[in-house]
Amino acid sequence: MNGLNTSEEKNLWDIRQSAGMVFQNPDNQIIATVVEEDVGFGPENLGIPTEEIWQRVEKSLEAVGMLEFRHLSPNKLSGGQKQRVAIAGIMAMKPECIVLDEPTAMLDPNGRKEVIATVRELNKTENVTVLLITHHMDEVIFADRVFVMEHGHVVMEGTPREIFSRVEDIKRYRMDVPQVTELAYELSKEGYDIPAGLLTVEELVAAIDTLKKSQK
Amino acid sequence: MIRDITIGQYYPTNSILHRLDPRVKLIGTFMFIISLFLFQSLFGYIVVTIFLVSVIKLSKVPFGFIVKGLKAVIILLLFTVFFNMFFTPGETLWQFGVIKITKEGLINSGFMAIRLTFLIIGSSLMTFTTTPNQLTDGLEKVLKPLNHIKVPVHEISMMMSIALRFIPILLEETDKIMKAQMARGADFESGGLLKRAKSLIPLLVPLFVSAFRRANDLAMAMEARCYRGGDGRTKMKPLRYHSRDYVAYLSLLLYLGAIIALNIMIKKIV
Amino acid sequence: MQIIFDKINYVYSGGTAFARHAIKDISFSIEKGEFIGLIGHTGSGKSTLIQHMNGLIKASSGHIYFNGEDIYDNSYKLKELRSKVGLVFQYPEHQLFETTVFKDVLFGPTNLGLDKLECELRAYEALKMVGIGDDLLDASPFELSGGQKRRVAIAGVLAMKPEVLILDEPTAGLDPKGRDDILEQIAKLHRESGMTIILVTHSMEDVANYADRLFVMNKGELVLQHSTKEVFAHYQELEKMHLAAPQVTYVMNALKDRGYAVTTDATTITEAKNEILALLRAKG
Repeated sequence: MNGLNTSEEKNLWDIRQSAGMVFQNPDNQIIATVVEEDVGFGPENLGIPTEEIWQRVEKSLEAVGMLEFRHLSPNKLSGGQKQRVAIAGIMAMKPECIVLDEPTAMLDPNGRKEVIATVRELNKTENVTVLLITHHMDEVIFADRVFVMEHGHVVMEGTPREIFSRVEDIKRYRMDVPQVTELAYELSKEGYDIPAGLLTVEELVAAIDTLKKSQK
Repeated sequence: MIRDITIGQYYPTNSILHRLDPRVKLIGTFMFIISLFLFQSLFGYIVVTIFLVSVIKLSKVPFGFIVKGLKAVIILLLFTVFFNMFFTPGETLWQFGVIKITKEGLINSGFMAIRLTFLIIGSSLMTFTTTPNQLTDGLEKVLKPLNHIKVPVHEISMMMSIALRFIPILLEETDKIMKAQMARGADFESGGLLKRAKSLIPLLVPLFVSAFRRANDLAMAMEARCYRGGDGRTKMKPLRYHSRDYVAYLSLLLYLGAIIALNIMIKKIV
Repeated sequence: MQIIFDKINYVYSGGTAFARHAIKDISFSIEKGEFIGLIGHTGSGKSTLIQHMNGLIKASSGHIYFNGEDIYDNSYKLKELRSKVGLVFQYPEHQLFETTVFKDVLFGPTNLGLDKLECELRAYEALKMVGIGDDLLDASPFELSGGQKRRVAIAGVLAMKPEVLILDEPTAGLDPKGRDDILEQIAKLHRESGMTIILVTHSMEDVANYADRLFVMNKGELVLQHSTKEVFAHYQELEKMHLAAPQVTYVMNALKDRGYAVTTDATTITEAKNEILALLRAKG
């Protein structure tokens, strides 16, 4: 991790600061009873001066789009909003990398979208490395690289397109494939010339369109 | 419903009381509680009532909300009242076997009920107007001298603040588990004391398991955010006294002085 | 008709000031043996609705009939209703409490006051139904995997031999394998025992594969109650309610928009595949 050996005790706190973690259950990782105080919890632990804590809290809440909720109790927020607060809490520690451990597993589809959009945004604008652990396959199509794990080993590795062009393998590991990817795969199995690893509705429709036009 | 318990819950609004330094409120509450046991006369009650009513007004917390919080402790209240009513010796008003109600008992219990109610309202006003985080900050500062005799002040205040945050969550969970067990035919309402106590097992075991799971998760989340106790921590909202806090201290001293003076004077008259 | 809701309203009054209309004027009927999917985003009133079905919440106004009897009649036994309408809450594994799996499943039938042999028989059967093997009967429920725990919890409700089984998001938080296993078990139960199933879910893909009819809730109202295909045909409306049809529905609609003569009511991958194959095989 950044050249620091994680197995060495003395590096522990440096590592925890540069690699923030967001967990599955939104209720069990919010410590304070007011949104902004929770975001300030990390910087407080790092011994950041008061003035700067306020700046960081404001900036992180803004980055996740939760600034207007700063004075509310976390109990008043939806699951997706709570996760965004948790992410802001990590961002306020200025990490280089965020590890999200199934942050959407307990959320409804809206909450999932919210969280994933927030994470993608941070990845782009704040330039943080994102490691997203999930079993929702539609969330990984935005990733640069995907690792598939099974029984403690990395069994597949590649870009989403590479991974999803191996539908049989993914199914063998009892994972999902986005519906379009599977549909495209089924069609190509019938002997039609459809590229492997299609990820979106538009891509599939375009592929069918091309095929149909070439028939004429 | 369990959810209706409002004691100890922050009531978000913007009043002068909300803006006061938590240390003022902590010390003020402490002084108020002492004052409740300082006086004997009717006059004293009037002064205390005026004081409490004005503080409630200042806090902008609706009276109905405060009363709702009292519901939770009504059993404790009734118990004290009955205890005082039946066990104070004096002029007998009504007797049935060994149970008798005395005039002194009746007066005593009435006053006791008022004192207890005031005590509960007074201390819940503090929690209504102070976020748990401010409260813990205040407590940590006020109790700091105890650090010298190896009392883990920071840890205790952190524990309190977490407990306060999780009370509503655990109450909601209790409600949910209760319903889920009722859907499996559980009956929490009928039967004798023993049967009822036993019927709580299907509620309490899952509740404890869940509380431990949450505690475990939370500890991990806190460590991931570099929490390692109170040393080297800075504060996002450090406590600083403002002029309003000095005014509040002054009013508190005046109030306490008035109570003590009344106490001495009235005693002299009687 | 097994279950009839007649103009059910529920006004929630959490405090004094803010009363909230949790569900509004809900009417529907469900036949014995149907598989109903109940969808709607968080806070749409789904959970409140299903808790009316076994009498955990009493409606502010309206009537509910179960097997022809009004459950709000004074003589109606709610406890009996709760055994006939089994309700599996979200994250049901959080309600496990006994020392062994078997004892935990016994809790329901024992509460019904059945004799010991009958209770044990039912518990055993129920565990079989959800695919929990004999080797796990004496295990502590707290030592099982997430998916196993959930199946034990479902067995705890099945052991009461309900005629209707309501499941509130039974797949929440499970991985794809755990999810498929649970859904398969439920479909099997429905096939083999003819039990009426009401499945509450966010996942359109889940209900598309199994449900006969879909109920869609939005802001406390039951806005759609049609066959699965008809509901997904309203996919643009669904989006306004922050719901979405399965991806394949979008594929079919996009093809149609491009001027291809396809029907757009495919809701599963197989249906979509057959439709597209027909298109590709057609000349011209």
